[in-house]
This record gives sequence, C-alpha cells and structure tokens, in this order.
Amino acid sequence: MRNILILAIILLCSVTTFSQEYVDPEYNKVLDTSRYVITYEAIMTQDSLNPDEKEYDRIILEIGNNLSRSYSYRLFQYDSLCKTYFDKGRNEYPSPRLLILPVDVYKYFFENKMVVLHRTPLIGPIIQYSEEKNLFKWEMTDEKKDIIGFVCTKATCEFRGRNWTVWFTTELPVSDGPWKFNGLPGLILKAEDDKGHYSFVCIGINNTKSPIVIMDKYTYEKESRKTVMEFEQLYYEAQYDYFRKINPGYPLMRKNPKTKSFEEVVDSEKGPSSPYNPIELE
Amino acid sequence: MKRQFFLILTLFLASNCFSQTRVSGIVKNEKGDPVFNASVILMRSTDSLTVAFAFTDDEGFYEIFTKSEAEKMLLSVYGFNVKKQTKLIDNVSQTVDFVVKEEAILLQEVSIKSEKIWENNDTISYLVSAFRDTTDVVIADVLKKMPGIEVDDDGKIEYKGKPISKFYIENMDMLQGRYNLATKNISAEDVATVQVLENHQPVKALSNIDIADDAAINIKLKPGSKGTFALTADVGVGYDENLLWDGKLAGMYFGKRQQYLSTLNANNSGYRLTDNRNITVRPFASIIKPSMPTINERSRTFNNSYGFTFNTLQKMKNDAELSVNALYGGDEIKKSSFSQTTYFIPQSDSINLSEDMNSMEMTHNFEAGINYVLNKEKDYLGINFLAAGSNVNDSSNIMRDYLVRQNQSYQAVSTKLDLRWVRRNRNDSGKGIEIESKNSYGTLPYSSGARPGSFPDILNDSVKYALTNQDINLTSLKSYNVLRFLSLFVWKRFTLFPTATFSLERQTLGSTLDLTDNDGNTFTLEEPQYGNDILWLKLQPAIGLTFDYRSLRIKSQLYIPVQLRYIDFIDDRNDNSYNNIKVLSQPSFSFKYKMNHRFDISVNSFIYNSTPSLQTLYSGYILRDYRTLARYDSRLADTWGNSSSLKLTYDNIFKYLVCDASVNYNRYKNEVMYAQNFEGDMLIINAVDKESTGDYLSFSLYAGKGFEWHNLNINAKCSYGYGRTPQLVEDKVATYFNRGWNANVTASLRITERIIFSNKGSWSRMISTLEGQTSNQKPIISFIDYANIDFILPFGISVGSSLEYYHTSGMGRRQDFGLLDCNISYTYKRVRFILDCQNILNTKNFVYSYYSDIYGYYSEYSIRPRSVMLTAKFKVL
Repeated sequence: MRNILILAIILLCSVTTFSQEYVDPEYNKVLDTSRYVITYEAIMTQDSLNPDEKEYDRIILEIGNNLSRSYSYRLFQYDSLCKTYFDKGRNEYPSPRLLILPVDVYKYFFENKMVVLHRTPLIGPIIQYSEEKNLFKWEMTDEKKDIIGFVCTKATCEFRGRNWTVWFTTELPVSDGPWKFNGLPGLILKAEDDKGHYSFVCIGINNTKSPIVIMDKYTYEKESRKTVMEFEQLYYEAQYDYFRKINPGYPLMRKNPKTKSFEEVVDSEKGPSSPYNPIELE
Repeated sequence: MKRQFFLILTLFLASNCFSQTRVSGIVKNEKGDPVFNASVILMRSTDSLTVAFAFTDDEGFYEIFTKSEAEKMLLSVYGFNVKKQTKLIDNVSQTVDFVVKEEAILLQEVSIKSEKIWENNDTISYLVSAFRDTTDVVIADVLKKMPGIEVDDDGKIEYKGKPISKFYIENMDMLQGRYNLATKNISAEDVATVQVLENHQPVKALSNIDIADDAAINIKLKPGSKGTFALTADVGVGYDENLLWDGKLAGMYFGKRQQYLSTLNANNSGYRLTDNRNITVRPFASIIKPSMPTINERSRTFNNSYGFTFNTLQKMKNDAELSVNALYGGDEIKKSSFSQTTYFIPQSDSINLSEDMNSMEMTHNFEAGINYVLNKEKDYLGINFLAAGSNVNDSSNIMRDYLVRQNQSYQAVSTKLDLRWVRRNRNDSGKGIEIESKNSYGTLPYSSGARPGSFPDILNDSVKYALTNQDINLTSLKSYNVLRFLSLFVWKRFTLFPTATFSLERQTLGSTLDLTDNDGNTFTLEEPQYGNDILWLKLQPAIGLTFDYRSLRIKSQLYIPVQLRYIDFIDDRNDNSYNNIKVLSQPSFSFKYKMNHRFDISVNSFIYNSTPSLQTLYSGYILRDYRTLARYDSRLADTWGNSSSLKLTYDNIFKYLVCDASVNYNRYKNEVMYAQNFEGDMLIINAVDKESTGDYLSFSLYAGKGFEWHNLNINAKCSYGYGRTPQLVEDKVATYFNRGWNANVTASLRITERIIFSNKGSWSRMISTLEGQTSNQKPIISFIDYANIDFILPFGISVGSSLEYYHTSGMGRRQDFGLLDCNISYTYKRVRFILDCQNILNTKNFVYSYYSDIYGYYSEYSIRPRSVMLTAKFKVL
C-alpha cells in the first residue's frame, strides 16, 4: 500500500510542465512579407575578463513593407531542431544553449515603435516589451570605408552604457540595422562597441520574399525591460536562485550520491555564477 | 552711440544665423500624395560626404540644418520605395520640394562566407590553471570553482544542477559511476583542462536520435602527468569518548591505452565502506535490531571499517574499452536503542511492547565487474558482468521482561549480466532498433536463531523451549528485456510509441525450522506446515502503446498496455500447486491545460494491479523475526486500484509568487486479507480469502513567495490526509482511520554575501483510531526545526554551523532535544585541514515516533556523543 502511494506521488510529480521548451514555429503568426533579408555575423564576448573567448551567432534582419524583424539565427535553429524532434515523436528536447542575444526586435516603419521579445536564459519566460524607435542620437563623422563593396559612412553614438561605432551606406536605402539599431539614412553594415565586446558585420544581402513571423501570444508575457535585466542578472549571479525563480513551486532537486535518492537543494544555496556582460549595460 | 551698438549687435546675430543653413521642403509622389519616411540627405558636392540627414514625416515634410561652409551641396531623397533623386543646391537656407517616383527597389545581392567557425559545438573547455589557486589540493577543489559545476562532499559532480552522466579521464570511462574515487584523489596540479560535454550522448549510434540532456566531464592531464604514478592521502584523528581515526591512500596511473586507480580506506569515525546495492536477493526473515534514524551518517554510525578498491581500463585494438572494477570491504557496526510498539486491537486493550536493544552487525562485501563497450557510429554493444558477494553476521540482544538473543548470518552471492545493443540503419534515416536485456541470478542461504524459543504454542505444543533455529534457502533468477524502435509514428500533433517487453522471474524457496529444547536436544519440525519447498515462476510478455498529444496549451498522454501474466506455483511439501494465466491492462492518463498565462489545471489517473510476490505467498511457517510468524496459505490473489488527482496551479514568476491546490484520491480492492492474530505480544500472520476495500484522500495547499530584500524566500505548505484501511486483527475485520495534518515553512536569507542563513520548520499531528472504539488514541505531535548558518571568510577559511531542534509528544511521552554541529576548514600550502565538531550539546538519543495502521511506534536511538575530528588532505607523490 505504501509503495503504491509512493508510486502515485512520483507519477504526479512527473506531469509535464508548461515551462518554455522551445517556440513551436507551427503557432507563429505572419505579420508581413520580407523584401530584403540581411545577414550579419555577430561576435560577442560573454566574459569581459576573458575577451579572447568569443561566442558566435548570426543576426538575420528581415525587412518587409511595414516592419522589420531582427533575430538570432542560432535560436531559430534551436526552435527548428526541437520542432524536428517533435515531428519525429520525441518527448524530450536538447537544452537551449546560453545565447548572448536571444532577442527578436520588430521595428514598425510607420510608427515610432519597436517591440522586443526577449527569451530569458534556459527555459525561462519570454518577455515582451515596447520601446520608442528613435533611441539613438547619432553623431556623423566624415570617415568613409568600403564594406562588402558599399561605400559606408561612420557614425557614432552612446547607447545604454556602450559607445557604438557603426558604418552605414546610403547605397542601400533602408534605415535599419541589426538588433535595435536604426535611424540612419541607409542600412547599417557594421556595428561594434569600443570595448570590442559586441560586433555585427553584414555578410549577406538578399532580395528574398519570405514571411515575417511572430510567436503566438501565449508564449510570451508583457513585462518591462528592467524585468528582463533582473532575470538575466540573476541567472548569471546565482543559477540555483534563477532555477527556483523560473520553476516556482517545483523544488530544485539533486541526486544525493550517498542515498541514491533525489533531495531538495536547500534554499540558502545560490548556485554557481558566471560573468554577465549584456549588450545593454543600463 | 546706443544706435551704433544695436546695429553691431544685429549684424553679429545675423552673421551667426547665416552660418547655419536650413533646407526644408515637401516630398510628394507623382500622384501628389506625401511620401512618409523617405531619407533626405545633404552631402558635400566635392566628395559626397554626408553632412546631415532627416526623414520625411507623414505630411512628406523634411527639415535639415547644416553648418557646412561648402558653396554647393547635393541634396538626395530616397527610400526603399522611392527612386533616388539628387539635386545640386547652393548652401543657403531654402525650400526644396521633390516629386519622386515610387518603385520597389531591388538591392544588390551580396553573400560572403563567414570566416569564423561557429557551428553548434557542445564542448566547453576550462583551463585548470585559470581556476586553480594555492588552496586547491585535488581536482574536486578546482571543479567547484568552474561555472555551472558543483561538487559535493562525496566527490560527485553536478553540472547546472544535474548529476553528470559520465566521467572520463582522457576520454576513457574507467570508473563506471564510482568516479568520486577520481575527483577526490587526482591531484589538481596534474590536470591541464577540464572539458564539459553538454548534451552528451555516450552511445554514438543514438546521436541525433535520442537527445541526451545530460552533461559529461572529461579530464585531460598534463603531458608530464601521463604515464607516471601518483599518490594522495587523507589522515584524520579525533575523539568522542574514544579515539577516532580515518585514513585513506589512493594511487593512480593514467597511460595512453591503459589506466589504473586503487584506493585503501579505513576508519572508525562513522563512514561505512560497504553497500549491498548489487546484491539482488533479500532475505525473507530478519532480526529485530535498532533502526537508524535519518540524520547524518557520522552521528548515527559506530563503526570499524576498512575498504580496498582496484580499477583498470584497457583500450583494445578495435577501440573497444574493457574495464575491470573490484572492491572489497568490511564494516563492523554497533547500534543501540529503546523502542516501544503499541498494537491497537479491536474491542480489546492495546498490546504494548517495550524493547531495549543492542546489536552488532558485521558485513564483508566483495564485488568484481567487467565492462566491455564497443561504441561505433552505427552500432553499439555494451556488456556488463558483475559478481557480488556479501557475508553478513548480525546479532542483537533485546532486554524486555526477559532477555531475547537473536542472530542471523548469510552469504549472499549475486551475478548480473546486462546487455545493450543498438543497430542503426546504414542509410541515415534515423531508423533502427535497440534491445536491452538485464539479467540477474542470486542465491541466499540464510540462517537465524532466537533464544528463548519463539511461539511455543504453535511450534512446540505449548511447551517452552530454548532456541528456534531457522534455515532459509533462496534462489532468484530475473530477466527483463525491452525492444524498441528508434523512430516513432507521428500524425499531426499525435505521437504513438509502441514498446515490447518480456520479463521472467524464477524463484525457489526452501525453509526448515529446528527447535532446541531446554535440555539441549535439537530436532527438526517435520510436519509440512513448518517448512517450504516452493518453485515460483512468473512470465510476463507485454506490449504497450502510448498516445501523446501536445499543443501550445494542452498536454495529454494515454498509455494502454496489454500484458499476459503466467504464474506457476509448485509447492510439493504443502501440496499446494497451481498455475494461473491472465490478461491484464493497467492504463494511465494525464491531461494538463493552460488556462492563461497564470493558471494551469491538471488531471491524472491510473489503474493498477498487483499480485503478491513469493515473499507473501509461501505456505509453510517462516519466523520473520522472533515475534512474527507468518504463512500465506492462500490462492493467488489480485489487488486492483485506482489513483486520481486534480491540481490547480497559479504562478506569477515576475512577482515571485506561486500557489497551488491539489486533491488526491486512491481506492483499492484486495482479494485477500492478511489475518493478524496475537499470541501474547507475538504476531501470527495468515492470508485469508476475503475481499476488502480501502481508500485514501488528501488535500494540500502550497504557497511560495520571494522578496528582493536580502534574497528572502518563504515557502509554506499544509496538507491534510485521511485514510481508511480495513485490517483483519484477531479474526475480526476492523477499520483503522488515520488522519494527519502537516505544515512546513522554510525560509532562507542572505544576511550578507558571506553570511547565509536558512531555517526549516515542520509541524505534524497524526492520529489513528479504530472504528467503533470509543477510547481515542492520543495524537502524536511532532515539531522539527532546522537552522543553518554559514560564514565564508577570507584566506580560504569557511565556517558552518547548524542547529536542529526536535519535539515529540504522544504515546504517553514527551521529548525535546537539540543537535548542534560546527565545522571549520582551512588550507595551508596545499594541505587542507578540516575541523569538524558534532553534537556539541552532547545529546544522547535521537527520538521519533509515528503511527502505522495497526500500531504506533516510538524509538530512542543512541547517537554519537560530542565529538571532534581534525582531518588533513595532501599529495604524497
């Protein structure tokens, strides 16, 4: 009898949770059709004390008639991989890799607005927030440079704790760029901060028509940019605290090698930490 | 004069104004509609350098200011729907309107190959030198500092809060899970890098098919440390009321194609060095001895232990790995306790039993395993063979109104053979099959003795006698086999998983009872009911189908197995043979619905069936312990039951708030009842063909809230459970009602970054009543509080302290006691010193009590008195 009850308890605990496993592309909504697709290589330094250790990603900028979307290619690959696993009937998914820029930025051309969908680390919540588009106070310079065959002009700006240098070209008449960057009279082909922690370089321009999509409204929640930063900071500073925060009500368990049973990690353990070096420092 | 000054001022202001040029205008398309968001830029005519820019507003208006001194400027208008138009203008403030042609513009396509390699690489490498400082002695000390890695006191590793799946040294898995031998003994200065392999699938043929969410760790040694011999040591000494000591020596050698690691341990300070986890047969009888409470191992174990391990791995010509692991150890453990058991008898007084016990347990274990792994891209073959032996000699003396002396001894031998074979299709379709087979065979010759002789009324015609001797011979053969396909059937959001399993269980049981009378004559009880000679065979082929449906807001699963169960029971001695064949199904169902961002609701239900095992089916009497005699002379019976639950969850992780409420209900029906009859305070168990049903209902509420203030976290849970269990006691069916309340509150607080405090309090109230019985039992109330505080100090010093407080009342007793522990660790020149003080309040006994259906239990267990121990850890070679 006692065994049966224990079995029941185990089964109850193993009910699948709704934590954010991946964003299922099947539920995406189409917002627009792209006219141009720009690809940037993104190089990021996660640990500011170890600047030689770089993380690589690609940022895809899809430009439509009414809006543009900038997103991480790695994250897109992750969702696609999970979807493939789902379609094969698998019940588990690979853990998401820690990404430096897990954000989708939607810039609306006819409004002073952009919408950001930010995925918090691992399987944390996806947070949506809106901002004004004209956040950047660009300073023009008279420096010019050729980037992938286009004559580019240098412009600089201080943005949320980093000093950015960007190169844009008037030969590509699109006032847009990777991530949140916009507001110059031409496409930004290169952007980097003065510490060399973040850089984006254009490696592809295509006139591709493809749907510009947004994830289903049940997958994200509206919160502020400050909340995003709090979540990320907690993840980097205290991983156990972060797990407890994103899985409320589920005790953080770990296997006790002596008793071979899972036991709860005590609340006072804050867990390992790792360096945090976000693109927006403030 | 005044006028002149005014003129100069005006001229000055005017010239200042003139140096800034303002160009504005309106951009319209050919239809005369304003063009929104077009770029307008002003460039120097000489080198087309952008001087200023603007965008048109929704009325097509733009405005540009410049301080450029160029004479001529270029003014361009463009946009991604606007054909570029450029005008040469003078550098003076003016209005310039544009009429532009709107057209879709194609960009000049470019594609450049990325220079950097950035494919998804799941290996993270850490350079040991970057993390190591002067205080680190062994590799576990360095691992602790790496991001995401946690190492516990036993040397076991977790990565991101999950235990690692494999531990490799130079890509070879020598230690087969006992890798803490390596982490606690390999010197930190011999290691070059630590690699974390994320999402590590150890079976290559399953890569991209089975997603492994586990991480593995690979240790890469420095070139100079490969192919050389290393030795590390731990030495500890302490005092409780006797001298305590602890010693350990570990030697190791890691070569290119072969590895060795060997350890030698001995202590009397509370760490057992044997375990019987690989012994597959458990005895059907035991002796009554003190049972260990769940407090830390050192406080409850009075031991004398030694252990030896030897591990090696050889890489073979076909790159298969062959490893051999052997261990030998012995534990001698002394325990003592006082306990009181109260049986609640329907329509009668309860029976009280007080036992003051001392036991001496001696265990010697031997284990040897051979593991062969061939791990290729399309094929995997793993063979694991293990032999384990355990020699146990226990004795226990019980002081009650008379002295009871018991002993037991057995030499258990078990062998295990596990096979795993994976074959993947040669074309990379992800198809293939996997077969897994787990087999074990064990024998257990057991003998026990109880003095004075037990159950004289039944066993010796009511004549008191000196000694009951019992011999039990058990053999057990078990096999469990699974076949599965590597690819599954999927239709839309439904997935179908088929599985096929086959299990076999063959057990034999032989038992005899010998009595020695008061004159010292020994005779065997020859009547059939005093012994067993049974063969039990159970075959269970089964196929199962799981239907899984998952969408954004619904997750649901239905599992339908069909099982054929064949049981053959041959009991020649008691002439009770039968066989039975049955088709069974035990479906289960789960459903979860996400109502909105905050609320989830879930339902779970399953049906279960169980049959007794040989342990509750034998027909001849077995003396389970000196005061319990059992036989189950009945047909094969089934238990059917259903368990269901409903849960509502609210969570708002942005507010650090979570709550849930749940209801659980379980109901079962048994075809037999186990009659429990007392002869004095001796218990006789028989099985009787009589149907009974019981049920259990519980409610629980949970709430958790976190605060920013010093990371304060508070969790509270309360629950209420109600159970109804019919029991056959003294030939009467009596229903026992159990009710229990439980409340738990935990809180943690980070006072500063270096001072961490946590507290856990739990309160419970338990009551057991008998139907129709007016005299209610007293409830057992217990309260436990556990407080812990850690200080992390500079210079490699850390101090930890914990206090536990226990209160128990009920069953006519009331007890309050506390346990206080403290430890300090410090590292000096690569030698780690740990000073551990336990039970500072010098508490003598650990007290606990609880109710089970027909009885209540109270125990006082003697724990280690105040003790202090100093340990040093260092590298010898």
